[in-house]
Amino acid sequence: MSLDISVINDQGSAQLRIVGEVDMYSSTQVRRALLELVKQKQSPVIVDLNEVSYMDSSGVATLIEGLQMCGEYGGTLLIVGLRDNVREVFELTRLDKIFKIYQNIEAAMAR
Amino acid sequence: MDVYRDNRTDLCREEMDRLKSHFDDLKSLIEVTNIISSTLDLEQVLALVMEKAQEVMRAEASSVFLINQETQALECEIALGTHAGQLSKKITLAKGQGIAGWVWQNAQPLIVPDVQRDQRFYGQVDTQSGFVTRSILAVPLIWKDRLIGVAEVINRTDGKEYTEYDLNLFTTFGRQVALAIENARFHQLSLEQERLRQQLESAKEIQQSFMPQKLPQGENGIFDIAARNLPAISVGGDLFDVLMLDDRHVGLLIGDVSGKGVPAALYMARLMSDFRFYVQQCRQPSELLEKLNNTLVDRGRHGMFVTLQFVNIDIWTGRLCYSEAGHLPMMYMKDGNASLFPAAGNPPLGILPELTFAQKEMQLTPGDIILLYTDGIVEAKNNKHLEFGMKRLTTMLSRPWSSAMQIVEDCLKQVYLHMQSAPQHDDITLVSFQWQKAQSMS
Repeated sequence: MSLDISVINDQGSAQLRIVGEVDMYSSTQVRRALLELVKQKQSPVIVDLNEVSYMDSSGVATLIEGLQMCGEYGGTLLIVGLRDNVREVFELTRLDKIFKIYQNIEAAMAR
Repeated sequence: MDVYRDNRTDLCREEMDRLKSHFDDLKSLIEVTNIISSTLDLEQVLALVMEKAQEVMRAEASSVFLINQETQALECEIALGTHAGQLSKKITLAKGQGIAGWVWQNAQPLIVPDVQRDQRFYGQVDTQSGFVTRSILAVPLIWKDRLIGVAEVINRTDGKEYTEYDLNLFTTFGRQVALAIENARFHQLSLEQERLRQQLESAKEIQQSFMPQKLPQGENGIFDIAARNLPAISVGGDLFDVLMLDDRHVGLLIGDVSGKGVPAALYMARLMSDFRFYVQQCRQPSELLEKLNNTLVDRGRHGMFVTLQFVNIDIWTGRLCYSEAGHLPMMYMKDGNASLFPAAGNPPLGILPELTFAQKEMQLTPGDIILLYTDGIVEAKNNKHLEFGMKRLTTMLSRPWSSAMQIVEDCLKQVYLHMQSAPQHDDITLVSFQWQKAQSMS
C-alpha cells in the first residue's frame, strides 16, 4: 500500500499530512517523516490523519514513538482529523488518553 | 618446388601449433570451471584459478584485487609469484591509482607492454616486494554488470608482448574468476544466514520458556484453562502467563509488546520477570499495572510500549477483577452468546509516567468462559487485505462451547481459514478460561 506524506513547516511547528493506509509496511514512511521533524525539534508536530482510511497497531506504535521523541525536547505531537474506523482503534486501545486529538488543524493551532 | 613444399609444411606446422595452443587454452578454461565447482573457499579457489591463469598466460606473477564497498578501495585479495611472500601488508589502491585502479575507473581491460614508460604504473608494490614488474595485462572482474574487482597477470615468461588474443583469453578468465568470487561470497552469506537462523531458533526457545509450559488445572474441574502463542516470526512480542496466585485465585496475563523480532522479545522477557516479581506483592490489577507502568517508563525506550491485560479470578466464588492497559477488551461467552467486557479504559504501559489505572469487577456464573487475545487475531488479513475483525470474532464465538481448549482451537482454525494463503504478519496469542462452580461448594 503506498502512502502520500507531505510536510508543511511553519515557524517552528510542522504539519504532517498523511494520505492512504498506515500498516506495517507503510508505517516506516511515517516514521522516517516523523524522525526528520524531531531532528529539527519542531513543535507542535501536527499529524493530520483526515485522509487516513486505515491504521493498524504498527501505525499507532509509530505515532507513540513520535510522541515520546517530541517529549524529549519538550515538544508536543497533536493528532488531527480521525476518521471513524481510525478513531475506533484509538478508543479501543485508550490512546485518546495519551494523545491530544483535535477536529481540524485550526483547532489544533488555536489550542 | 621443394622450397615451396617446405614453406607450406612450415606454415602447416605453425598453424597446427597455433591451433594446439588455442586448444590448450580452451582446455585450461574448462579446467577452471571444474576448479570453481571444487571448493567454496574464496582464498583457495582464487589461488587455484590464478595459478591456472598464470600458466596459460605464461606469466611470472598474478594478482586479484577486490573492491571494498565500505571503504571504496581496491584491496589485493591474492598475489601469486616468486616475490608474493615478501608483501608484508595488504595492498590497497584508490580508484584511478595504479594500473588496477585505472581498470576499475575505466571498466576496461588494459595491456601495458612496458610499465616504466607508463605513468599510470604504481611502483610501491615492487618497492615493498623486491619484484620487478615489466609488463601487465589487467582485466576488470564483472558480475551481473557490476565491477567487483581487477585481475592482473604480470611479465610474460617467453619475453613476448601480450596480444589482443591474450587480452580476450584473460577477459574470459576474468569472467570465471568473478563467478568463483560470487559463488564463494554467496556461500559465505548462506553460512552466515544459517548461523543467524540457528540463533533465532535458540532465541525462540528461550522466549517460549518464559511462558508457562504447563497450565494449572482446577481440581474437580472447578476451572479449565487453555492458551496458545504463535509468533509471526521466530521471536515475537506477544506474551501470556497463567498462575495460581494462592489456593483460590488464578491470575491470567496477556500482552503485546510493540514491534517484533529480537528487541520486542527482550522487552517481553524483562516484562515477564517484572510481572512475576510485582504480582507477588500486589494482586489488585490496577495497582499491578501502575507499578509495571512506572518501571517501564523509568527504563524507557523510544517506540517500545506494551498493551496488557490482567485478570484475577476467585475460583471459589467466580468473582473476577480485571484491568487492561490499551489492550483489546476480553470476550465473555455466556449461554451461546459472546460479548465484549466493559473496558477499564487505561492507556498502554511504558508511555506516560505516574498514571493511575482503573479496574473493574464482574461475577461469573458456572459455565461462563472468558477469552483474552492479542490483535494478531483481529488484524489477521487475507489476500485481499481484509481483516478478520472484531465483528467476525464476536460472531464466531457466539455459540455454545464445551471447553476452553475448544474455543482456542476453533479461533485459530477460523483465523487461518480467513487468512487463506496470506502470511501471518503479527503474533497470535489466546488465553481462554472457563469457570465451573465446584460441586462441593454449591
